[in-house]
Amino acid sequence: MNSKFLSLTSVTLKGVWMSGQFSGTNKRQKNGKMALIMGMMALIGIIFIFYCGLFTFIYIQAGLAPSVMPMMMAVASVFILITTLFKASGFLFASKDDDLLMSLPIKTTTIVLAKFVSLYIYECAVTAVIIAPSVVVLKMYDCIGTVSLILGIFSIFIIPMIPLAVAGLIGIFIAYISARFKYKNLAAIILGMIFFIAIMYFSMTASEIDADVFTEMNDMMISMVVGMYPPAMLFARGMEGNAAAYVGFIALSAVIAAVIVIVIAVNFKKITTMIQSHHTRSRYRMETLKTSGVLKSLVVKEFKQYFSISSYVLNTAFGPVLMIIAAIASFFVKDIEAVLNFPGINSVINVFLPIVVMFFAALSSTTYPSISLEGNHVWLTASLPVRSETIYKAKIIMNLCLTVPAILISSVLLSIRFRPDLLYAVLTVVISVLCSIFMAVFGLTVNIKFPNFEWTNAAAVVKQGASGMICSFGGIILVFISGGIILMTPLPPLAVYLVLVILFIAGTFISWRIAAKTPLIQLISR
Amino acid sequence: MLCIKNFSKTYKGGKKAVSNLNLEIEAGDIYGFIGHNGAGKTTTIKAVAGILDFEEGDILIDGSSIKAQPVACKQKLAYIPDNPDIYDYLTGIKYLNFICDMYGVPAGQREKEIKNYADMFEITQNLGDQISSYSHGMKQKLVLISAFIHHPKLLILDEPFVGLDPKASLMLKQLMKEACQEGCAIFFSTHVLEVAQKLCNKIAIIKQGKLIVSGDIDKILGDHSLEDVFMEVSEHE
Repeated sequence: MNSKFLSLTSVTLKGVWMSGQFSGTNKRQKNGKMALIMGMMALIGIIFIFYCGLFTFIYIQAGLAPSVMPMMMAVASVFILITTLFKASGFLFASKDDDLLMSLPIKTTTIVLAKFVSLYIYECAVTAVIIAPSVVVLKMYDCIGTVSLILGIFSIFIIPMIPLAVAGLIGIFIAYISARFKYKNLAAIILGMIFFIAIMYFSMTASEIDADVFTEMNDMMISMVVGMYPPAMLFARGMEGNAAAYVGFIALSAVIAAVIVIVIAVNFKKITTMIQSHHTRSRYRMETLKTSGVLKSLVVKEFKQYFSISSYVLNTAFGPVLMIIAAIASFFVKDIEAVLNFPGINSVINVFLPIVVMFFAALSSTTYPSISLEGNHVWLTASLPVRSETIYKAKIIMNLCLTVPAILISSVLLSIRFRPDLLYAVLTVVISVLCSIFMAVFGLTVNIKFPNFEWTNAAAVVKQGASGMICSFGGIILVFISGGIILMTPLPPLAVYLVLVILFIAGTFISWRIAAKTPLIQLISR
Repeated sequence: MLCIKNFSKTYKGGKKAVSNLNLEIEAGDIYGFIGHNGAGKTTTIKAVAGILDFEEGDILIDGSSIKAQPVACKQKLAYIPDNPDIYDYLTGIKYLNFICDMYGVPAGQREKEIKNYADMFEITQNLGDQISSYSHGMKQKLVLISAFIHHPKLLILDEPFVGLDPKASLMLKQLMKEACQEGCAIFFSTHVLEVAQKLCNKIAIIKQGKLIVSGDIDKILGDHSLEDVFMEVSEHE
């Protein structure tokens, strides 16, 4: 069992870490791409480490050092919970290689354990980026002793257990419920969205604490974190030197994770069978068929593919969905400063509104995995009597059909709520729409440069593909740099927005030129 | 109808899959393309179908170059791969309607053709179901229907009889003959030599990327079976 488990875990781990990214390329191109992706990951890691370290420093200066570790633990846990939830279907189960694995002489528990361990190793790396800098900064400023430093580092291996297992359980629950419906994918998407919104809601409402009740700021902060994530209480006490609490935290994490993994393993075959079953009527009779133009037909096909992959929808639609929810929610929040924990925001929101909506627009590219998701049927798309440019346009149009209406709705709502100057209201729409168009074209171009047709689960393509990384973090970095320049430099905000407009237009034009020069056949023939 | 001129394909890494292939197929031909595994059949077929890029040589379809005018060439041909991986997220009828949109098949004609072929292959009642629920054979039938409904001038098939039940195989042979009588050219690869011998009027045998023999099947075979000829050609340089 051990050798089978290790062998399977090794193979599965490769699937977690961007499988097939470099297939079909020669050694020089492969090494170049690998270096670029590793560089990107290192850069993202450095940015996260910087911000976590900075956050810790700010909290230390505010006298809130004891609440740092519980806070970072909760942040890491919520992050793992959400990202694993989006990954569950397509990786933990309903993966293309499930049939092959289940036919091998390996226990189902071994298969499930290998999948969880692979994900666990990945999430430990993510947790390390969040926790390690905080622990180090706390030690540097003598806020914790050597023992707490060691415990903090060791906690990197404990923190992911509960959120990973819980996300797996929620994922299997969603798959179990949606498998009973005819439109399985649609049901899975709706349920996934509900859980995501619920997690975000409870995270946000846990912060609404009546400060007058607490005399100690640290106690208030810790209580807020515990409200969001109860196991943080044991962890917080453990980091303060309570050995029993820390051992309790390890035991609780291990027991909860073990129980959930066993429950999933026992029901794995049943769930997999249910997911693979299909509702068929077999009663079709010829009806009148509607004709469509080539581009429209391709756009409809793109929509059908989009909604057929739940992880694709959940990972890309949450930007537009969150945008609209945030815009509506703003009408019910009296004190934005308290909720966002951002003193003075009311005086600058007028100027920052374009940046706020741009942030959501930057996260809404659906094109970055769209070429890769052609997968095994890329031959079909390439054999159609249609120019590659038309195929690419269809993917971009589909993206814009999702994002532009959301941008327009949320911009109008936010403008009504915050009553910015007319110029900034117009800029909010213009900047966000241009950003959305740029991200759609840029995402497609990046995927053309980093295609991956040989995948076994769509979730890995959507979540861990190189193009996804470049797009998502590129967009976020752009937003933060723009916001940082407006906030921290004497440059007039209008000048920054004008530069953004020019950058988006030029970037769109350049990206499209690169994409249009690369026919689909070249990507297949690599 | 199809003219392959000095076609060579070398994959990255130096592997030469096909070397200096020359072949001509006329309207009305059923041309069998035979070779052992890894001989270069699928590489050649994919290049003809316009889904494999190549640098050396050219491929002309009805006088147009697949490199210079890929869309115009693809409008005239239909390609059926050995593995029917198609859009699983569509229903059968939506897939066929999509293909008709791509090839510009008029509304009235497409309904008539789809009904005709779907009844022939006995999958009409399944057209309303998602393709993901289809068996391999049903998908293969759907791909065949999608190839015939727009009446291509050149039909390219890679191992078309794999996965088909006996009745569907017979139906396909019938359709191929009818298409040829209407002026279509058919170029297909197969490992089933008996089928090739009965169906084809011309054959080509490829070995390690090089064309060994090509032409009228009667002239090539003489008094021998295709199997004997193939084995002899395979064993000698």
